[in-house]
Amino acid sequence: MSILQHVLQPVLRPLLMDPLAPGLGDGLTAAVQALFASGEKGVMFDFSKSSNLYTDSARTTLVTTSGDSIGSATDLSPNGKHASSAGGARPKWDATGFATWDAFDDYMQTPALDFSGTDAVTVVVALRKGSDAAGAVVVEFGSTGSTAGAFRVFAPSSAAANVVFGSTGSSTASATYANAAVAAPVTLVLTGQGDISSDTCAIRVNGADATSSATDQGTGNYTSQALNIGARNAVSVFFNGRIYRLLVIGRALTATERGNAERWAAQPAGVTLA
Amino acid sequence: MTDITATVIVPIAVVDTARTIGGDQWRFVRPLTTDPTGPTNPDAEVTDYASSGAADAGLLALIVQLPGVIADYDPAHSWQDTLAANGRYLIEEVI
Repeated sequence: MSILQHVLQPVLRPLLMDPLAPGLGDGLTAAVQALFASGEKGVMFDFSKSSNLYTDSARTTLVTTSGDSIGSATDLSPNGKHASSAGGARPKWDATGFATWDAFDDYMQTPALDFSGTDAVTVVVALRKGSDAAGAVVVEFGSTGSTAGAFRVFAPSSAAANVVFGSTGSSTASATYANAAVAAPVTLVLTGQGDISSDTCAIRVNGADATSSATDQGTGNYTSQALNIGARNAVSVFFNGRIYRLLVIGRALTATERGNAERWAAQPAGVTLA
Repeated sequence: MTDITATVIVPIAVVDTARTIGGDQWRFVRPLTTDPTGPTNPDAEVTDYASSGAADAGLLALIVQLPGVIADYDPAHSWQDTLAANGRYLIEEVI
C-alpha cells in the first residue's frame, strides 16, 4: 500500500459507505444508547434497519423486503420494551430506511414504561408527515396524552399545518408550532421536552427551538403506561406518514446529548439540522 | 395461517360480529360515514367500520359472508381507493 493510500483510505471509506449499512452511525447509536447508562427508563427504535424489525409479534422472522409488515420493533435501549402490533394493522417497512403508517389502522404499542420515578421526559423522532388532513398521534404515552402523567407528539393536532408536543401533570400544557415550514408533506426531526415541576413544554424542529408553553402542568410525575406509536391506544387518531427513528427517555438531556440524539434520528431521514 | 391483503368495510350492524371473528387480525377500529358531505359534516353518523392490511385469510373468508361487507383484494389499491370506490368517507379526528 502506498503512502497515498494510507492517507486517503480513512477519509474515503466513510464517504463511500452506505449511510444505512451496519457500521457507519453505530458510534452515534452507541452514544444515544449511553443516555440510558444510569438506568433511565425509555425506548429507542430504529425503523430504518431490517435487523431491528420482525414480521411477527413473536419476533421469529426478520423483515427482509419493502412492504413487509412490522409485527415487532426492537427496543435498542437496555430496557427491552419492544413495540408490537397485530394482524393487518401493522406498519410496513421500506428498504430505503423507514416504516410507513397508513393513517387507517396501523399502530405499534410497547409494554408499560414505568416513568413514575420522573417528571421529565425527552422525545426525539424523525418522521415524514404525509398529511395535515386530520389529527394524528406520532407518540402518545398512555391511552390519551392529555390525562395526568402523560405526554404526546402530534403531527398534526387537527386539520392544520402544525406539530405539537404536550406534557401533563395534574394539568396539561401544549407547545403547538404552526408554520408553513411544517406543512405536509414534510420530513422533520421533532424534539419534545417536558418537565412537570418546572412547567417545561417545548418543541424543537430540525434541531432548533420552535415554540414552548409555560402553562402550569400542575404536580406529580409521569405514570407507568404503554407507549403508543402512530395511533391513539391502537384504535384511533392514526398517523399518516413515515417514522425513521424514535427516542423516548425519562429525563432532560444536556445540549450535547440532545444534539447527538437529534443527529442520530436525522441520519436515515436525510434531514439537515440547524 | 395464511395471510391475505385486503381492505374490508363492514356495516355498523355487523361490526361486533366481524370483530369477534377477526380478533387481533381484522380489528375494524376505523369509523367511516357514507354521508355524501363527507368528513366536513360534523353531524355525519358512523355507518361502517374498516380494517386494512395483510392478515389471516381464513378469518376474512368468514367475515365477508356477513351481510353488506365489502372486501377489496387488490394490493395495488390504497385504502383511499377502496373508500372512494364505495362512497365512504373518513370521519375527521380532532385531538
